[in-house]
Amino acid sequence: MTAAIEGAESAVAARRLAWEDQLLALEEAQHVTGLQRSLSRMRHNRLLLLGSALGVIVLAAGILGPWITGGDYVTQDFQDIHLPPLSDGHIFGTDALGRDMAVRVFVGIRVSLTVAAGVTVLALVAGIVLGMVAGYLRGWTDRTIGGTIDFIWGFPLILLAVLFVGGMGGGLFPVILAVGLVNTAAIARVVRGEVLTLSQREFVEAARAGGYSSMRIMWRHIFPNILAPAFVLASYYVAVAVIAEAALSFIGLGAQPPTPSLGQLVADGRNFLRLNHWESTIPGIAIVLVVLSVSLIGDGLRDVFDPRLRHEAKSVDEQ
Amino acid sequence: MKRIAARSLYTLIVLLLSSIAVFYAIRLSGGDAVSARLPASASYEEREEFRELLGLNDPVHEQYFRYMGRLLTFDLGKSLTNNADIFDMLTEHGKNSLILGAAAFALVFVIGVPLGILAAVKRNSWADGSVMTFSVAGMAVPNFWLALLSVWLFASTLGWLPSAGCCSTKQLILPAVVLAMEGIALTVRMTRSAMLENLGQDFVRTLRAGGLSETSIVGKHVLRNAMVPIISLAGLRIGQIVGYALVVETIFGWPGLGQVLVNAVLRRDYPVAQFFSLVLIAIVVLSNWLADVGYTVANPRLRRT
Amino acid sequence: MSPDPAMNSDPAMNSDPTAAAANGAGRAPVLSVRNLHTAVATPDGSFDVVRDVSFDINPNEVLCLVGESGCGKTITALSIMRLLPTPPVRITSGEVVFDGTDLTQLPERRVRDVRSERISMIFQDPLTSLDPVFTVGQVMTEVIRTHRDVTKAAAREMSVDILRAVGLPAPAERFDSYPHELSGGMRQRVMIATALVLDPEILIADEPTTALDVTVQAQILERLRSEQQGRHMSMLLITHDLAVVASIADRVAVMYAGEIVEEAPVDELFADPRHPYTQGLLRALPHVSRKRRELVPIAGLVPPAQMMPPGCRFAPRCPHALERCWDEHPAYEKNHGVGLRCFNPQPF
Repeated sequence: MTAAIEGAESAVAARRLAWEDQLLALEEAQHVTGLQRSLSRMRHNRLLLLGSALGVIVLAAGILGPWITGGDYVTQDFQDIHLPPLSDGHIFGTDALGRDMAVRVFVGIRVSLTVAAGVTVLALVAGIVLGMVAGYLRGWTDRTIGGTIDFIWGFPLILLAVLFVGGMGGGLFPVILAVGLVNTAAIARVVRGEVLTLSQREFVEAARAGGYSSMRIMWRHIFPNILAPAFVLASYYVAVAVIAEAALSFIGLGAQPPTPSLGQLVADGRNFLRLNHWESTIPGIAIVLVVLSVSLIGDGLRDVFDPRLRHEAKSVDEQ
Repeated sequence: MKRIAARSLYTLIVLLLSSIAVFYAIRLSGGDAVSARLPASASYEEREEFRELLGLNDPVHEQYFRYMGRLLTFDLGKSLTNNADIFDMLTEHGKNSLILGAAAFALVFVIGVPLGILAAVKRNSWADGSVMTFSVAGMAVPNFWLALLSVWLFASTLGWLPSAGCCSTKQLILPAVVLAMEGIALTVRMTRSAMLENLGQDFVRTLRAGGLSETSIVGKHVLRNAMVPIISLAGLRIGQIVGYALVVETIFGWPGLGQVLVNAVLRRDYPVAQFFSLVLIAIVVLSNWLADVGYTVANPRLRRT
Repeated sequence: MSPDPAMNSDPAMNSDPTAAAANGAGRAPVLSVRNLHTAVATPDGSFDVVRDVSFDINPNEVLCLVGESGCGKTITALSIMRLLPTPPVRITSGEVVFDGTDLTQLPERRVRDVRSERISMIFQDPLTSLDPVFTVGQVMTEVIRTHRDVTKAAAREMSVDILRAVGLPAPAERFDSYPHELSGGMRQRVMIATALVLDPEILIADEPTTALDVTVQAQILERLRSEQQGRHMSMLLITHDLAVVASIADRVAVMYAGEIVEEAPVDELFADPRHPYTQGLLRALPHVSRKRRELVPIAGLVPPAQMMPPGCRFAPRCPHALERCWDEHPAYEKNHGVGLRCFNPQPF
């Protein structure tokens, strides 16, 4: 009698143990670390893969292209003007002055990427510093910086660049400065918001209660946490820089001849659209490819590293 | 009300600061303007005489106050390149820009909002897919490139529309569409996501529980909620249109404020550049202010607090 | 949290709730839920979140649906109202019989005529549940005029009357207020007023007091109870809070992991719970039982949807589980208004 009851009890206990094992196994199967998740999301993110592939091609064109072709973008050859693509020795043809289009497009890509790199470095450094200072110090510092940031962020990029060119003369420098300023404001806005949120979090409160100095809290606790969103956003803004430089060069306010810029190449070719539309189309396609690769990478990084930023990026689109 | 007053004060301060900034920036490049207007052989005396004539040798703040005084009397001097009266240029080109800008601004919302609603209501359908593909394309293609393509297609190849010029309706179509394109693409995306976000809100369930029709819930309640962020960003749309007008007006030879400013900068016609910089900045700042007022009015949560 | 039922000073609430239940027991139920199954589609497959749920709501009674969060109470209520977020959640089988028709089979247009006019529902969070960009009055007027052919002025009068009746101070001014201008308790009163303005036969209240301050909770419950009695309305109240149950219910149905495990008149359930889960809920509650007992939490967690045990869903956490409980799924047996889903019920 007692043995029967004990037997039944141990059977139930065995069932329960088996059940708990099953639950644990399920939990383990579902458990993945943050890094694993990021890597797996990266592998499965088609946008990022496509963007990276395009990006490699664009980088190769900008860095290796001029090097392989010799980078001579000034020599004119009035025997061979307006050659179509795939002509002898001129894979993309020649322009109105007989200059090799392939060299000019590759150098143009290099100019685009250089401007984009300059703008992004400027915007990242200045944006993070300004955003952290404004977000952490609060008070009138925050209001002054915040107001300025909001104003610049809402200001039309092209107009600002034209104003800078008006004040400083043409060339790439005022363009980099103008685009850099607007992108700085965009990054500073987001960093400031992140810092405001982070300052409310327990670990910062705890550090503050523990008597750590503001500098140390900023550096050790806040700075590492804003790097990811700042970089994701910066990658997103590379596209803005590329388009702005191309547009300004197109209307003659960016890169000055003879330095070839993609926007300027499109402008040079527009007079010969009927004769040889490739002179305009090839640099135009190059711009679209550069823009597409950087925005795909930006979108992909955002999805992978910070799904929260998806929301932020909606307002990023406003630019 | 308090919010509107605060924004108005902020707007005034921004206007004042930017006018000073533009003024100093132009003064810094003033020497350039002189050498650009005079032959290279001009002597030092001739240059000084020219500077004196333009008042460039006075202290900058004096020049600023004098300039502001002249602004109030509409006496803005003449262009250095074609001797046209600057105030006359403003009225003439301003009118053209207003037509183009208003057309583009209207297109942004008249096309963007309904397409966004369609995409949200029919989400994951082929209609949604095509609208969103169009939207992504609209943002990836730079507008000067789109301008060239559309000229090539509609003017050179099909011959339906003129490639440039002003100011007939036919001539307006291409520049207005190109100018509006990025705004349309953004508005489509924002409308769609705002509609979807609000469709998922708890209040929609309450309204359904009240027995309201889907037409009223989507077309009235969700739409009104979704419009709040879109209206709040309408000012940015105006700013964006002003910025792109610089490029689009230049490409299509549309004689508006943007084209005037770009040409003035290219030709170092500094009185014109200075004045039209101020005009465009004022338009951007004031439109941001207007949008802010609009946002406050559209959003009851801000209106009464 | 002070779930002591003795705290309710309102005499209406202390009146014998079994009387109302007894009144209702003789008549036909106003609403019958029969073998309702509601499933959610996920990337890993489709899972029942409500499984084989049956209950009746009798005239003039308050039926409470109790259970932990995620047990399917809200989905049950939304299934009745046909307010499920479809897809991914949809009714897979079963009936909801109201006034001779099966609501699950009605076309959307006809369901809209039932909502608010005959069955109303109020929700948990009164802030997010009200449309932020319309005034209280605009929404109430629209609800009234959707169902009744009345002028705007008449609709306004009806609204102000009901706002006053649910205890909203200065109802005429509040009619033109936006939700953000009201406190949490006022918002909940607005939601109740909107739900009651068309004098429905049934009110479904989903955690109506959970998001409110404790003092406001008591006022809102009191108001719900008095409106229910004054209007001879039936009420289905969904809550996880046994103190709320004790203060308002005539009858109680306990849900666990998507199923009803026990149903009984409120006094019977508190005095003599049969199902080990119900017993566990009561043991985990301070002061409800008259004798002082130790607080005993229920061991373990609700099983995840993709791994429901094949036998009794409570078996893994049940102190009295038999081997049979692991293998066979117990049927829901119901006699004379008392239902139980258990192979091995124990005295409390």
